[in-house]
Amino acid sequence: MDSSDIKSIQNAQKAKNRKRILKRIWQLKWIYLLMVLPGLAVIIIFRYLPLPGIALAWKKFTPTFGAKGLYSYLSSSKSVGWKHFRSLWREAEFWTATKNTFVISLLKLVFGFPFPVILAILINEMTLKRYKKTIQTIYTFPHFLSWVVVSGMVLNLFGDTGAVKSVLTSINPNWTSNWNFLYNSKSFRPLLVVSDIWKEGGWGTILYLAAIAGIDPSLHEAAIVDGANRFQRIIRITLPEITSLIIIMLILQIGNMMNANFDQIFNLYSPPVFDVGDVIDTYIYRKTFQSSTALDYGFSTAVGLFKNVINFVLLISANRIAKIFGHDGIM
Amino acid sequence: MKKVLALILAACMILGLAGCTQPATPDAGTTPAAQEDTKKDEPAPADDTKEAAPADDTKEAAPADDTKEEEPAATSEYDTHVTISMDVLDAEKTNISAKDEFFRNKFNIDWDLYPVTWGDWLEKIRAWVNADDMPDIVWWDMKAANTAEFKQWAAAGAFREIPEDLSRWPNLQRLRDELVSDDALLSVDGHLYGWPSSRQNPPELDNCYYPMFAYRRDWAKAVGMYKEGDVYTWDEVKAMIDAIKAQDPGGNGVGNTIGITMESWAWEQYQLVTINSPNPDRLGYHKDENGNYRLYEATDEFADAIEFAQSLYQGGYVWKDQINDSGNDGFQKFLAGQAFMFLGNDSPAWFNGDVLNKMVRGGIVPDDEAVAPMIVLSECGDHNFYLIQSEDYWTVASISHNVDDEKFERILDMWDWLASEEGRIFLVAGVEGKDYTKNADGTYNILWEKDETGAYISPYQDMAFNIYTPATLTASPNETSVQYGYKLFEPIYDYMANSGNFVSQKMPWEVMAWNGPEYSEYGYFYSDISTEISKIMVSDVDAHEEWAKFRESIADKLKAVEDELNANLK
Repeated sequence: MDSSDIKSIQNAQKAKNRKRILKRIWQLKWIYLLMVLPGLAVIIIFRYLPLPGIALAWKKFTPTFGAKGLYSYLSSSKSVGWKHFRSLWREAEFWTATKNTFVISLLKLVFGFPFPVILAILINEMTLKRYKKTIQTIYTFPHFLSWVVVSGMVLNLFGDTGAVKSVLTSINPNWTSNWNFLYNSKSFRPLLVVSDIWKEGGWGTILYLAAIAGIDPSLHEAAIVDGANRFQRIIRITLPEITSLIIIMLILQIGNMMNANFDQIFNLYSPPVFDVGDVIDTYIYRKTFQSSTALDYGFSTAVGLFKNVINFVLLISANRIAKIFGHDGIM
Repeated sequence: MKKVLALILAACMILGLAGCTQPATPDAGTTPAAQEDTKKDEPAPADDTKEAAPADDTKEAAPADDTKEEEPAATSEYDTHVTISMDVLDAEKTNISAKDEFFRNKFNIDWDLYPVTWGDWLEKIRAWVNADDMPDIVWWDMKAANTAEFKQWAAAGAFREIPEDLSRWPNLQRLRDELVSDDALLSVDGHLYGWPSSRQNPPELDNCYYPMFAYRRDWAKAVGMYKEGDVYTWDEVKAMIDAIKAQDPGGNGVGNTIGITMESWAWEQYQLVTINSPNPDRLGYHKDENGNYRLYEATDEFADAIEFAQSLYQGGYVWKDQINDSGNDGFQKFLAGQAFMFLGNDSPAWFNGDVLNKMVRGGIVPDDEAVAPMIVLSECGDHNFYLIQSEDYWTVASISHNVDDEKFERILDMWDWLASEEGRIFLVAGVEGKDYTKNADGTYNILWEKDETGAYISPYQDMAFNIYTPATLTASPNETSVQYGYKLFEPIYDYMANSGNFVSQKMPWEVMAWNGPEYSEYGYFYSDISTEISKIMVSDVDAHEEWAKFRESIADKLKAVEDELNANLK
């Protein structure tokens, strides 16, 4: 056997190994991992690649023209130290927006978070299958409407020429003599919470319904044999079985508290309710794009960075607290 | 099977991701161009004060048919075909007519249109320019207040310089000689980087802008409160609105007729306040009696005007949902006969376009006398009629630094031709042989169809806002006899010229052109002021007290700007 024979045997062996590996990948369903790639690419492109841009928080943004390179603007933008952060602390509007972000998120957490859990349990308890599916579809449908559409519906319902006012006027004109529902600081936050629950509550049930479907039926069968009624089974079996999921969702929502839903608020708010409705995201948008003076990406980046740092701290804290109470958490 | 599906799905997602990457040039056909546009700050094509050659109406007009007739083809003197990208409003209506084809053939070009809407125009321009991802022609609704930003871009090399020697383009040179803004706002170190689209205003307008009212004259007559000449005080206007709500001449139901609606920008720019502000100088920074620059909006006089505007809103004279109108609902309400008055850019061109085409020809109003422009005298101060001087242009176009010499010269050739008399005829009448023919004596035969009143019906739409706008706005289309709006404005112009009550608030060019750091950062606090005025008008608060609080909140920043202006411009 000469060296060329040995080489060809080695090559054949290598090809065989490669085939075996591919076969093994195919058999072991690793192929499904390929589906992660696009998501991974999205995260890398839109989440990690822009990260160097955070440096703008310490710079005065100056555009560059004709320069090559993804981050050429960083070298052309002069450093201004902590100027943007100092400006931030002095801006009363920023603190109003920060407070509003917390308050609105908290309201949504308190009133909005339990809603899908309760709704999922109620839907699960329905016995008529067709009715159950219809109800689920009705509740889920609003999720697929954009906030532009939903806000249009809200304006048409509650505006000055809207249906609600027309009906109330026909009953008693005095009730609507100074109609100001959409531009009233007192009614704006409840409007946000209710419309958010209406739009997203049904969609939120999907995860919980899936978790409920995964509960071992023998638990319920045993409880029925022991004489437990429906309510007792919900309290003693269903809820404890989905607690882990509830905790995970709670942690995620707490970690997202500084995002108070830009789309919703931007489409519904107006200057008279800025004092209760302007959140950090809308504040950044106004300062960045709607300013009459030259835009300052540096300042906007500083605000965004501040927001995300708070979000990060909240996420870690919520996770730690969950662990202290004996739950798994997300990390 | 599942595995195969997973593979296909993953491949599709990766391909989809690749599809999200930026193409060499965006495809106007696939971008969401068909968004609802609203006419914001619409330019007012000027009256043509020159005697125009009368159209020969006696000859039989041939029907204009885009599809059946053989189009007169333009021959191009250019050998090389170029594609020019440009942002445009109403992209879906642009570059589709025979007229556009003629223009493309003439200059041997294709257009690559970047759609913008009134709502996202400034945002998109800012994003494109700052990311160095701009179209060849960057066309935007640049105001004097945007000067600092423009100069920052120009100084950093965003745009190509418009040559100082325009002898090759004599029509552009003529416009440069007439304009003030080119040197005052659009030049950096003596080099011009933006081309202003001249308004070509008639002298009697004194370069003022038209934020004024249109009203239902027929309703005013129906309630017996019409005044010859269409000049009213606010007390008379309020009495009319009350009477119209009660007597319901429009058939909307008692109490349902809206008093005043307006363009969304008119609310945002607090026009209801400014038209009642008695300051003879332009709003913004002006010199006080000591020669110091002061922000007029920070005065008690201005607070009086806010208080009055608030009383109109609170009194139910202004449409309550106007504050939330980011589109053109205000105009739609007026158009639909639900509102008595409409505040906007109600110029002769607007009457010729929207009112004539939609309300008169659309049968919404009984005759062409039913809607008219109106003067409402200021409630504050000396009860005069105020209009604010504006820039002498509407919109600015700059040419990207990425454009090569050949394309650059082609663009200037196009603009020069559009600014010529031949170009003006093209803009107002279209293509020779298809839309009009010339007589030996220099007059024109317009070949368009006529309506029942004998007025020509243009087969072209939105001529003011498209690929041709950057060169210059056009003078009035006398050749096509669209005189409706101009006739309506005759008494208005007469009042402005002869009553002694018309005041044009002057444009302080020196402040507008200033580029100091404090002024660049804060300007005249337009966004803050607009927000605060909205808050006050909608709330039942003491306007003076709230305005004083607001002034206090911006006091430090305002002082910094005023100090800067006084140190440098006084």
